[in-house]
Amino acid sequence: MYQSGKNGIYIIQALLWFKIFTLGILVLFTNSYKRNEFYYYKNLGVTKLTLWLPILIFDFLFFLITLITIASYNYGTHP
Amino acid sequence: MEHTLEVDSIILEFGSKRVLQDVFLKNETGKIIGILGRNGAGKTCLMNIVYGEIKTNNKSIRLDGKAIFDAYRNPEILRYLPQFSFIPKNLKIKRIFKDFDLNFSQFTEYFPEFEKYYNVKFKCLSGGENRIVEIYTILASKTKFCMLDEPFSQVMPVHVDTIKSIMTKEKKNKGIIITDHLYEHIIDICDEIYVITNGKTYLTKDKSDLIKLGYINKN
Repeated sequence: MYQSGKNGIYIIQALLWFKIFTLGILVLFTNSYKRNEFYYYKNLGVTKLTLWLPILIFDFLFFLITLITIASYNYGTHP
Repeated sequence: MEHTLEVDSIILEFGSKRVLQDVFLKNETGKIIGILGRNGAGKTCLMNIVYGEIKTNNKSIRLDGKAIFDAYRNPEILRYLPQFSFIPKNLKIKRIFKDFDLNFSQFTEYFPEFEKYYNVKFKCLSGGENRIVEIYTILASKTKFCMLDEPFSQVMPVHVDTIKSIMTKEKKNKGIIITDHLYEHIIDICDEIYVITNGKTYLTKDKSDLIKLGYINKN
């Protein structure tokens, strides 16, 4: 029981770092791929940071809530 | 109300190569100024510096005598048409006009053939049509100054004339800075023309100055 809980924490840690890594890749790729289209938003007074911040916060929170929900569900159903 | 935009003291270097070093530009409400120069002379770089997109240690950009930084943060001061397509392809034309607070029926007075595109996505239009929508959104939207990088490229001659008439109308409310290699249109429409040579700007008087500065041939 103790061992399985310890492994679970390691898995969650790894998943969190993997999520942060993929978000970084997403930002880099999109900044390069959609580089020209950022001018549209700049011409409307919307900066890159204003565009990215809500998306990243929502994405990370959605991932975190899903992870916590799944983890607590599994913990509750285990003998 | 009239406004003045002044640009000077710009130094831009790429490694050991100095691209811009002695630049002076002045524009005011009611004026169209043109920037000409050979390929790689630094016209687009200059526009990007003024817009705040390229950072340099040395630059002085002033609106009505007051320094402005990162002009792109304030579209009411300056809007910029880059030389490439910049409108997201999935947006509908009506959304674009709403975002820029523009009247579509006014646009169709100039370009009646666009009437059918109101509810159509931007990607469904041809390259030239896309460019016309882009030029109009920057040119006609509410701002004190606008910079247009190669507005006449990709556009057919009939529409170039229409764009020039829109510019003449819009310059009453704003200052316009244009650069394009179709220099005859620039000569035709601009009140003042600067040529960038060896990183410096030269204010020209007539076509003979363009020949002297090596931008066009004698013949």
